[in-house]
Parts: sequence; structure tokens; C-alpha cells
Amino acid sequence: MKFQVIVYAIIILISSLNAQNKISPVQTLLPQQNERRDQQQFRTAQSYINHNRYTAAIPILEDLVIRNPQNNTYYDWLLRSYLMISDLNKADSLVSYMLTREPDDPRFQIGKADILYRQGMEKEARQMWEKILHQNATNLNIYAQVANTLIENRLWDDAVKIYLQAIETIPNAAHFYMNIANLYKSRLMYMEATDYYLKYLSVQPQQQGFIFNQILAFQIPEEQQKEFLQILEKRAEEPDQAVEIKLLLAQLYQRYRRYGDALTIYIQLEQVKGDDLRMLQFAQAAERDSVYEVALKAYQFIIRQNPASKQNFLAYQGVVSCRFQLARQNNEPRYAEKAIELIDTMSTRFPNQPELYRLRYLQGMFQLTYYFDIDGALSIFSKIMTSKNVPADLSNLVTIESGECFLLKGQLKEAMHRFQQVNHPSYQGYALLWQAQTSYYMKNWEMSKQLVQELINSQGTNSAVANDALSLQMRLNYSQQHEVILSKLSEADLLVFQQKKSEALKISLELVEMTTIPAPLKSRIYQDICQLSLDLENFVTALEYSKIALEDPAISAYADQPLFLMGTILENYFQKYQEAFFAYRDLLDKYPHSIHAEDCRLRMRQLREKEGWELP
Amino acid sequence: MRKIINTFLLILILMSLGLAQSILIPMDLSQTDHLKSYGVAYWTLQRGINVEWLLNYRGGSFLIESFVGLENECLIRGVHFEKINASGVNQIYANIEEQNMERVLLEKAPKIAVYTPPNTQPWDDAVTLALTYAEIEYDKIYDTEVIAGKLPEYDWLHLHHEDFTGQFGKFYGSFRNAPWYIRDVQINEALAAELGFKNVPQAKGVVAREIKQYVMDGGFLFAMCSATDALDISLAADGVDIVDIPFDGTPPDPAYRNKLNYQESLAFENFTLYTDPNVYEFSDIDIPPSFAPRLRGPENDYFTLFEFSAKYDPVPTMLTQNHVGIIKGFMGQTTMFDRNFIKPSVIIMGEVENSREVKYIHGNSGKGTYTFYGGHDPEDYTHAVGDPPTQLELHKNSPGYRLILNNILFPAARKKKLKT
Repeated sequence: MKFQVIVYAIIILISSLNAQNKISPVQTLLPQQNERRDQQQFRTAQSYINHNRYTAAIPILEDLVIRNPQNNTYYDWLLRSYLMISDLNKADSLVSYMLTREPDDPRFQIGKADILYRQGMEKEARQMWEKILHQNATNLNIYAQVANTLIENRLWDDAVKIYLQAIETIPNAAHFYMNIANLYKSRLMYMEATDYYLKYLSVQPQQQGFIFNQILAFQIPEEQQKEFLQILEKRAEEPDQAVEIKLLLAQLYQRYRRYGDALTIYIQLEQVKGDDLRMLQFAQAAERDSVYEVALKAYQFIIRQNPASKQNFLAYQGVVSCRFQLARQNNEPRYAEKAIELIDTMSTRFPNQPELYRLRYLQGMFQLTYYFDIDGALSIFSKIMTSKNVPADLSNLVTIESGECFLLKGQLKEAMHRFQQVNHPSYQGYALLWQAQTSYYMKNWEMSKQLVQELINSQGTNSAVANDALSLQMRLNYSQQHEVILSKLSEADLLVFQQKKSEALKISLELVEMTTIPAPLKSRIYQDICQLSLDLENFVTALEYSKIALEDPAISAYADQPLFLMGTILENYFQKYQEAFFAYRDLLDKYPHSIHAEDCRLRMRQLREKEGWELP
Repeated sequence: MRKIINTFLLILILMSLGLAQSILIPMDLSQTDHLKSYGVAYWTLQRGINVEWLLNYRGGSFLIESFVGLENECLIRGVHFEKINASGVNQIYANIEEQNMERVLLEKAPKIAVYTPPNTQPWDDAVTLALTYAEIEYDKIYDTEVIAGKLPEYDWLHLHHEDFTGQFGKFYGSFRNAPWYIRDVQINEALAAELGFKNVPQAKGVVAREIKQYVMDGGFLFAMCSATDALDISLAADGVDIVDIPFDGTPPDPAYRNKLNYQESLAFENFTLYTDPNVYEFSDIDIPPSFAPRLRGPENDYFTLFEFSAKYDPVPTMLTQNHVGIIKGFMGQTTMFDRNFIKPSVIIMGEVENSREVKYIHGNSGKGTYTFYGGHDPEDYTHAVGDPPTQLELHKNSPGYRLILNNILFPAARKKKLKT
């Protein structure tokens, strides 16, 4: 011990001599300048340590400690660096030197005990820690320092005991509950961590948000989540902290997407302590996650709890949108009828609410997509468009939808007029595409080409509508040499859009018989015939035309398409698995680089795994 | 009459011989999916049908006598194949005889074990990825199975990003507070205790020696990334404490340097350890060290495969079969091996020419062999912790991954007397 102190004293002496030689200019500096220089050096050392370069930091810190032995920060960082690189001899010399200067300073005594432990003298170290705590029984910092040292030496349970001892002994040491919780959290012992977070919450109720966030951030493995929640559920039944635990439990259920369970607890909590906003946020979260049943119940609960409140508009809005979604999800128009009734009620209750138009828009879309009631939808859209105070984005969206309605009705000029009215930047790309498409249906090829070009120039080739635009452009390229064919094709395309599939099929069948039809168009027409036949449940025609396409020499370069289609029809509509298998195999043999090759491989694997069917 | 029948039968036999078809799976640039080709060869062996590996012939092609289902399998797996008749096969054989090529008969699908922990780790394992992509079956084993003596049940053992020194991958400096690291420590400590060991370093030391014994008894070991040097360090440090407090609660033995026994290690010798827990590196075997910046970028980082005499050195020839001779480099916790620390008996198969950097080595120990391959993922230059796994569908022709799969078929080869 004495020897070590002497060694360190010699090191200091030599270093200080060196220091005198090296930094002679410093001698001429003012004390403030010296201090600034030390702070700069310390920052450099910290930077080294942050990059785990302890050996580079140590000489700087040694220099700082020598010149500022009273500065505990420099001492702490130097000791920590020695310990990190396991240079226990130097660490011991440093602490011993400090103890000769300040024999009663517990900071250095704690350091000494730490080194003793690391040197394998556990018993002596423990005795020393106990003595330090005994002598400083009311000093919170000392408890914290001893606990930190124990944690660094992986003595976690001992550290917890020290924290608990402090909580028992000192009146305002409850924040150590948080330290214990954090310690358990860092060891992934989430239940224990939760216990201590809740204990901390009981003494610091204003910290609820922070504590809950800590617990909600636990990364509990999926297989352990159920058990974790079960333990909390039991705790929630106990009278102490029942409200807090229940609220936490509800938030955890929500996090783990157990919306039904979360709602039950939120309803219980509302009866004790109402919070509309909390329930509303929960309902919106459930709706975003497509749990419409639960979201609907939550919205309805909010309305029931406080029916007179004008703030309930958002809840009503939620009820309407959830009901429309449920109508689609369950194929049950009753939900939609109720939604429409509610919109009517709301219209009288909130006459000047601009957001009401969004609900009308939902109603219009439901009429259109669920009932295919074009006039009904158009009437709703027209009312919205002629109303005042409609939000700009909604107004543009509704204009596009009404244009589509006119296309469905075959009123192309009216549709074009609607698409031209769109001016909102978010919808401009769509509007241009629809204008180009409408011009194509009107057989105004030049106009359509110009609009496609304008669309690509203004929106770029990465926009959401670029693919559709390029596909249209490909067809328009045939406008000069194959105008008759393109004309028929545009008629067929419009009929497909209007869901008039039989008529579209008739035109496609006529088209495919025409001579001089370019191969890419012919290949696409065959594909349309097959697809329309399948849609019309005319599977034999679909299969027949896939075979005709396959044998048509004009489209031999595109024959992977009908081959794949033939395999699909044989597999899915005729359950002729062996024949389908051979169709796919044929495709792989003849067109190994086809875009359908990967799908064929996958289907062949699935087919050969089908029960009771032998591999050919 | 009998004479006529015999003549007729003879003609039939001769005809059938002439019509007999073989399937050639070329492994040169015409191959559409090199990695799945190994899977087809393995699948064939699993059916008890031999495969001829034509070393150096069109990138190390496979020749298989045609059987029902083979063509379908190739098509389904997207493997390019060519139908060859008997005279075509004879031409190939004649070609092989005249050049630096050789025919190696593969007879048995090797039983494969991958040493991997039960918990998911935030990085991928190139071999597991390659095996899964190539549709080659394997078992997962860990310390429990190794200690229980299950290794002799397998023909081939793979180790990847493992730490046999018990320092939990030396992630302490950067990841000691990360949940995955804490969980990894907890699982390994619990497992070591369950197996009756005082701590993880002690348990891993015993596991390392079991693996060495497996090789000595005739096993085929393939290791990548940190498993290579960590295994050798652990073997050399048998009974010596080389790990710091965060790993076993005690500092390293002050005299550990003098106690390392390099005769116990497989491939490396005279190396120096980094015991600082904050330094992400085991020893100076790894070059460049993980903590030092690398000067070359991925565009300039390549290693070269050595070309062996196929007829005289079939083993290293098998292990270096590829459709290219220069391969993209890739980093790992152990990127490459410093030539200065490789034992003289070890065969160097891949290196950065005119440098100390060696990527791919092979050696014998007892009745078995080992192959070490530096780096983590051949198609992800710097595969960092937490990075998503490499999609091999996008790297069907990866030369770096081919080297891994060469090793898998190597134990299937019929042993024949070496010409040297």
C-alpha cells in the first residue's frame, strides 16, 4: 500500500516535472486561461472515451488530475478509464494517493472498495462498503455511488438492496424506486421493473405519463406478453392503485392490439373518471387498425356518455365511417343504412360543419361502389360541389369522382368537363390521367397524346399514375397506322370500365379476328378475352382462347402470356392439375426468362404437394 | 433362333446405351442459378443417385444420369441444365482427361449441422441463408448438443459469427445496453449453468475442444467470420483466463500471454489477444482489425482464388470451384486472416495478392479437415448488427456464396488415394 502511494507520488513528481518542461508557456497564462485550457483538454479526453479509446484519454486525464487534484470530475473519469482497461495497479495508486490527501472522503473509499473487489478481495470490499454506508447513513449520494459501483461489478441484487436500504432509512429517497426499476428494465426483468415503476408512481403521481411511457416501451418478446399481462390483470384487481394499473393495462392491450380487452377497461375507467379525449383517441386508433366493431362501440360510448356535447362531432364522424366499413366488410347494407340516417341527423344538428361533407362523400362512394348506383352517387357529389365551405381537397376529390360517374354513364364530354375543373395539386396527376383516358375513349388521339405527355412532364415517371399513363401511350402509338383497330379497342376499354363485360367481350372477339393487328395489341386482346370470359364465368371460352392464342403464330413472341393463363385456368377453374403442371413446365422450357417464370415455379411446387396427386 | 434373339438383345442394349441421357448442370456463366444447382446435386444424392462433379469443367459442373423427376426439379428450382447423350458425355470425359480438370464422384448426401444459438440474433448467417436458399436440409445444434456428444452424428459442421472465448461476441463496448445483447448474455449464462459450468467462457472452452475433437475424429468443419479466430483462440487458451470482468467477473490472468499454447489451435499461431472489453476485436489475426478504418472501398476490394492442379490436389480444387477467379471482398468481425499468423501446414485458397490478407484457407487435423472463410456475408459488404438479411433471390450467381456451397458437397466425395 505504502509502496503504491510512493510509486504514484514519484509518477506525479516526474509528470509534473515534465509538465513544467512541456507546458512552460502555460506558466505565463492567467488562471482563467488555464482553466479554459483544462476544460478543452477534458473535452478531448471525453471524446476519446466516447470512442472507447481509453488509452488515448488516460495521459490527458492524468495531466489534469495532477494539476487539479481537488477536481473530482477529472478524478472520476481517470479512475473509470483505468478500470475500463483493467489497469488495477494504476487505479489503486490513484485512489491511494487521493486517500492520502483526503482520508475521510467517502468517494475515494468507495473507489478503494471497488478496486479491492476487482482484485478478488470480495470480503474486504463488502466490509468497506458497509462501513462507508454506516458512516454516511443519511447521505443519498453515497448510497447512489455505492449502488453504482455494485452495478458495475455485476452485483445487481446487492445494488437493489442498497437502494431499498436508502428508501427505508432516508425520508426523501423514493426516487431510488425509479433506479431499481431502471436496473430491472436493463436486465429485461420487466415484471419486477413494472413493480418498482408503480411504486415510484404511488409517491410521484404527477409522473404518470413518463412512467407509463417507460413501461409501454418495454420490448417484451411476443411469447412472454400474455404472461406479463396476466400478472398485471391480477394486480388490477387489487384495490391499491387500481385505476393507474387499469389505465396502464388498457394502454398495453392497445399496444398489443387487443382492442376488445382495452375497450372493456376504458369503459370501466370512464365510469370512475371520465376522459372523452382518451376514449376518442382509442377509438381512432382502433379504426386506423381496421378493428371497426370495437371502434364503433367506443365512438358510440362517447356519444352516449355526453349526448349534448357539440364536441361529439368527431365521434359521430367515426360512427359513420365505421358503419360504412362494416357494411362492406360483412356485406351487410344495414350498417350503411344506419350510417346514412346518422348523417341526416347530423346535418340538422351541425348544419355549418364543413367536415360533414366528408361523410356525404363517404355516402356517395358507398352508393357507387356497393350498390353501383351511379345516379345516386352523382346526385350526392353534385350537392357537395354546389355547397359552400367545402374543404378544397374534398371538393377536388369529389369532382374527380363525379367525372368517373359520368364516364360510367357514357357522358364523356361532361366527364371531361369535370376532370378539367380539378386544380388541387394533390389531384392534378389523376385529373390529367382521366382527361387523357377520356380523350382516348372519345377517339381524340392527338389530344390524348398531348395530355399524357403533359402528365409525364409535370408529374414525372415516378408518380403514382405514371404506369397507367405509359400504358395508354403505348396504345396511342398505333393511332396512325391502325386507327380502326385502336378505335374498336377504345370502345372495348370503355365498356370494360363501365362493367359491360359481355359487350366488351363481343368487341374483343371481333377485334381478334381482324388481320393486320399488331402483335402486342393482339396479345393483349387475347388476354382480355380470357379475363372477360372468366369474369363472365365462361371458363370453356377462356380456355379455348388461351389455346388459340398459344397456337397463333402472329403472337408467338408473347406466347408465355397465354401459356401462363392456360395453366391458371386449368388449375383454378378445371382442377386439371397435371395439365396445368405441364403448361407451367412448358412455359419454363420455352420461355425461361418470362416474367411469369417465378410464379410458374411456385405453382409447380404447390401442385406437386397437392394431396393424392402424383408428380408426372 | 437363339442366335437371332441374342443379336436382337445386343442391338437393343447398344441402342439404349446410345440413347441414354445424362443431365449436365453447367456452372459457368450460362447457369441461371448457381446456388440452387448445389441444391439439385444434394437432392439427387439424397435419392441415392450419384453425382459426378466435373472439377474445372465449365466452372465445376455437375453430371447426373437422367432419372424421372430430375428435369422437373431443375425447372422448378430455376436451374439451367443441358441434356447430353452418351457420346456427348464421352467427349466431356476426353476433354477432362486432357486438361487441368478432374471427375469426382459424389456418393452420399452429407448430414449437416449448423451451430447456432436458440435465440434470434440481430444479424444473419451466410451459411444458413445459402442452405435455405439452395433447399439443403440441416439441423441446428448448440452447446447442449455439443456437450451431449451429438457431433459425431454429422458429416459437416458449420460455425458462423460465434464467440468461443465467452466474451459474447465482444459487443460489450457498443451494445451492452441493447436488449438483444442482454438477452444473449442471460441465455448463455443460464445455459452454461445448466450444463454445469461456472461461467460462459469455461463452457465455450469445452465446446471448442469438442469441436476440435470432432475434426480430429474425421469431421468436416466449415467456419466463417468470428468463429474462425475465436475457435482457435479458445483452443490455444485452454485453462487460461483471457476474459475481463464483464464476462466472468474477474480480470484476465496477468500472465496469459505466456500461457497460450498455439499447438492446440487449428490454423493460427503466435497471435496477440485484445482483452480490453471495449475493443471490438479478439486478436491481431483479423486484418484489417475491426476497430481500424479500412482504406479500400467495396469497389476496390477483391480477393483471388488460387488455381490448384485438379488431378493432384482435388480437395482444394473442389473447394475453389467457381465461375470467376476474382471475387468481391466483404467485411465481418473477422474479415481476413493475417498471413503472418497462419500455420505453415495450412493451404491458402483465397487471398489478396501481394498483401498479408488471406481470405480462404483449408487444413487437416487428425482424420478430419477444416475450412475457414473470412468475412460475414459475401453479398453485403458491411453487414452491420440489425441489418436485414440478404435476399439470395437477388444473388443467384454469387461467387462468394458458391465457395460456401462447395464445402457442403465436399464431404460427399468418394475418398480416393491422392496422387501426391
